[in-house]
Amino acid sequence: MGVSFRIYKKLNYFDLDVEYTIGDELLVIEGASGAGKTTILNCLAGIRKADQGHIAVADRVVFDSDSHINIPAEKRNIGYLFQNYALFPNMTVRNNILYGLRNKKGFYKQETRKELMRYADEIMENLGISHLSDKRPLLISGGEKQRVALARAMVTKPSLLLLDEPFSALDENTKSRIYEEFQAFKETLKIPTILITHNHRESELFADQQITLKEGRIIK
Amino acid sequence: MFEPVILSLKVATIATIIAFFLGVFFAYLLTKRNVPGKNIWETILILPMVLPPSIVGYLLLKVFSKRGPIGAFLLDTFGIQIVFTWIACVIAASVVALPLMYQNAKGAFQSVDESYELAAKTLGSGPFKVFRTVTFPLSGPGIISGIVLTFARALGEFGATLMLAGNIPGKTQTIPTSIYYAVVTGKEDQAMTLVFIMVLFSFALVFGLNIWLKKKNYQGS
Repeated sequence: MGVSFRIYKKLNYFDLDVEYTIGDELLVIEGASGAGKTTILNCLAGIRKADQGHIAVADRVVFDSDSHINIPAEKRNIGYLFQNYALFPNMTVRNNILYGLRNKKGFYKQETRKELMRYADEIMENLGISHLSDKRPLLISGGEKQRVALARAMVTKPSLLLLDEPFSALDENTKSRIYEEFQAFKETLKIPTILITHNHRESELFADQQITLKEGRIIK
Repeated sequence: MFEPVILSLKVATIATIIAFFLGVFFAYLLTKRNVPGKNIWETILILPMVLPPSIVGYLLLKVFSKRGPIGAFLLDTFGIQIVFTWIACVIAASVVALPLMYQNAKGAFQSVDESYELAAKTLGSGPFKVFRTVTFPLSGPGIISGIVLTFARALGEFGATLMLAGNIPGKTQTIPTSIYYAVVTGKEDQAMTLVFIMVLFSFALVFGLNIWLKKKNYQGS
């Protein structure tokens, strides 16, 4: 299992050129804004296309420039937590979380559906957001939004989880509590996870592996 | 005297429905999918708004008349004649109002934060499902504005309608053409009444829309 990637992409001011492999662990990519961190996540998720390279997630090749493989984002089964969480404002918390499940094979068969729903309930329970079910995302706090977004990304059982500065939208007062929560959540993750941040404290807290990016290159 | 009012409402309603589907369809195609010749298509869609309606009407007449490409086809295969019927009013109003629907829909789709669409994609939705479940529902206010303005424009359509449908009382005479006819023939009272109805109705539409949009903004959704 795990993830291996080699990504080369021409950007406006420099070339992004990175290569790395991780197992079922958490990789922190640190770097200043504009170092190319989010571009890596976008290429992995299939939202942007690398000019050259190779990406394999859980032994499945999702991108390979030589053999012209480029599986679209919707078929990559990669969980992505956006910096602003991107919770759909037109849906309740529960429908946000179920959104990905509705795209799963067999959701409209009763048996599979029951199982999927039970799993969704379990995740919401674990993340302590069951009571928010019927609320709209606009009416919940930043920390709650983050947990809902995590639940939404996890409920489809992705083979890779991408976290784009998951704590940057939170205010300083709640951060330490949310760090603790995330630490506990991290222990339950059994998939490769990539977290990007410009905050060194976060890599000290969560990283199993850590790399630093500068102008598109890994510098350590 | 109320025949033109009823015909106008009927024509504007049907034209709005047609323009709605076409406008949303083209806006989706040209903003969310890769279509070759985007700029050309877009220009063609906007053209009825900048051209004088009489020119639009003239071109439509060329296309839909008995010897025009579509007109001849419809007459030969179905025995349907378009020109000088109420269907001609609908066609003229739809074509002239379409750019408004298209523009509003396009603006609305483009103003939806891209991260919602990307999130939907990573959660397994293909392009059309992303549009149906996220982009379109989040475009509500822009779409509603488009519908209201399209309806108002269709209701007020004069030039192209006169060219394509004529001004046949009880058959193709809408409020605007009826006002023109009343003024020309010196029926001031009738013209005044219709003008009053038209102004009141348009005012109510735009006023209602603005109030609704303000409320919507205030709620922040």
